[in-house]
Amino acid sequence: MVDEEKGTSASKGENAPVHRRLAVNQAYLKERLDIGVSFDIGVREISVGEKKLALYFLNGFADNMVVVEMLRELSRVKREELVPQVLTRIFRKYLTHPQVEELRRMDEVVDKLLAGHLVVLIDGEQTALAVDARHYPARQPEEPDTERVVRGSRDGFTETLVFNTALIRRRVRDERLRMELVQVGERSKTDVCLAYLKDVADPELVRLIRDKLSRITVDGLPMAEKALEEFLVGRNWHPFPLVRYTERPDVAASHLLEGHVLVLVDTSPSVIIAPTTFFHHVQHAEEYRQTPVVGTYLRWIRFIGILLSIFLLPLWLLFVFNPELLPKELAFIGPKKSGEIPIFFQFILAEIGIDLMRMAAVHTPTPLATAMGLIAAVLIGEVAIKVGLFAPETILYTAVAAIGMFATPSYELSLAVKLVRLFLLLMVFLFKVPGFVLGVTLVIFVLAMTRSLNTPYLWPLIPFNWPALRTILFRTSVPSMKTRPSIVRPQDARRQ
Amino acid sequence: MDDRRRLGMPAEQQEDQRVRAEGRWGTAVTVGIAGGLFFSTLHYLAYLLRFTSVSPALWIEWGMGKPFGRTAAGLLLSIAVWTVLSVAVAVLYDRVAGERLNPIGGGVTLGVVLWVLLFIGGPMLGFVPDVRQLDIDTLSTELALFLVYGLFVGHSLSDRFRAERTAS
Repeated sequence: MVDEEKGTSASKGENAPVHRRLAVNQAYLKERLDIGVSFDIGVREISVGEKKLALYFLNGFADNMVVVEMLRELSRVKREELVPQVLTRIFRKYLTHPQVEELRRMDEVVDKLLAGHLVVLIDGEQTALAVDARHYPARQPEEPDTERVVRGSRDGFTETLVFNTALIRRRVRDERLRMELVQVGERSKTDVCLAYLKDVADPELVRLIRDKLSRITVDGLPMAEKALEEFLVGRNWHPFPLVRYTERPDVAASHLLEGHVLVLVDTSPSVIIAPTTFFHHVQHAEEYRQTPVVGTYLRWIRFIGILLSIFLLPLWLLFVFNPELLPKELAFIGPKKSGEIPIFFQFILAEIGIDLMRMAAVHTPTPLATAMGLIAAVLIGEVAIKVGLFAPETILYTAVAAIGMFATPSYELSLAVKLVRLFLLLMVFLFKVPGFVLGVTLVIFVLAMTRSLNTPYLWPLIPFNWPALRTILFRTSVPSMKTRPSIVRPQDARRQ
Repeated sequence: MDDRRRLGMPAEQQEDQRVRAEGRWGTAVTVGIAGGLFFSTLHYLAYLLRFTSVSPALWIEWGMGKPFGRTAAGLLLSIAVWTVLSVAVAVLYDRVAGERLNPIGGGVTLGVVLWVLLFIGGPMLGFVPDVRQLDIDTLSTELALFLVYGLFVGHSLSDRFRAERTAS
């Protein structure tokens, strides 16, 4: 807890200091926290060398073994050893625990108590002690579902902030790595950590994010990093993700080394990476686990998947309307049996269907999932074609587009791409060829005008930066990557 | 909106001065080449799919006749011509307007100006058929291509992002 900054707890406006007499403090706590009403706040009164102490703790957090050890040490203390400097003696000599803090205000006492610390109030002293003997229910680091690699480390972040920072520090042992702690949220007082390399990250960016974090006034952050994202980059109507998330420590560490800034939120395994561009979302750790050539191939397959996912359906709809646009060689494309409903509405129905199926798959318990998948894929498709609801090509192209969508590394990007696809479908339906080209132009303009924390979204395509673009198009080998991407405005552009 | 304020102004301005002295021609030429290659290829794709009835080989067709324009050699030659023109446009834009114009607005203006030049001025020299004879598909496709090209060049050459653009 060495790097901790005390967050401002602007609670009820009471700034009472810790009182000298134990009884007063105890009465204060009893009134404020209704000690008898909440069953999980516990009190233990103990006499140490004839001095009275009161220990407050939260049942769910207190590690009993640690508390017993501490009390055993304290119980052995004799009066002569304590007086006259009770507090210093207890603090320095007899309270055997690595993480002990001194508190002077009752506000801090309440905050620490409710965060799970063990708070010790001493009769006759105006300082209380907080011992961090917390024992979290936490799961082991497991590989995140959405970011799997075939070969490589399989740990992922967990819900506990301290473990996540430890996982990162294990990979970046630099002394210049800073982890600043901020508390956000009136009632939730969630711990938020800002991680960056002090001599690499852009200090203005760090300052900007820190400012934004400190200015958040909100009840609480139950949705952890998602709610925080909206405060950081806050656009309401724009579907494209303006920050990148990751649940893998190796991805997070490599972004730190490039000069990005990370925001970690307690109770969530997802870490926010800022700043980000569109092209960050289409890369995946998998490509770096293979040789450069294979990695480039994989990357290109992914690009093709994303392009297909955006353009295949609108283009095909366009060719349905205007078959004369097709060159001779491709004239076989085009529905042979077109079904009863106009193709545009078939596509809309198919899109809605795919989303419904995906939601159903998420909510279905695993044993049923295979059966559901079978029903959905085989039966519904077949029957729909026989009934005349869909043309076979509709299902084929929707399935291809959906696969392209699933191949997108970033889940948020795939959802945004879906919206773009629907928009383009609508434009093609209404205006045919001009609709398509002008729709695409509009999307490109909107993306080019987007800025995520002051970085242009389509970098390095627009504004054009050929060296950086080359590293995106071709997965360059690690030894040859000598410089950091300029988009993060690093203080030191050369990688060490 | 406070995101739009420029970060780190003094340092960036100093760097801009240095970069401006060093790499002006370099970036403009690179942007021009990239833009010319990329967008003339896109144009050819659009021509293949018959979105536009104007072939990218229009320079060759004008200069050396239609049959040569249809061949692969003619196409490649005309892409080269487009690239050279694009470099000229990029360098001109950089000299004239690079520092002052808003990246988006400048780009859009550039695109519109080029489109007007080609389609209003073009028929007089025989490059393209008259505007009234072209259908809405062709006009809108060409307009879209020029707009995005203008955005590409304008945004890349705008002063504000020189720091991101230099080879680093």
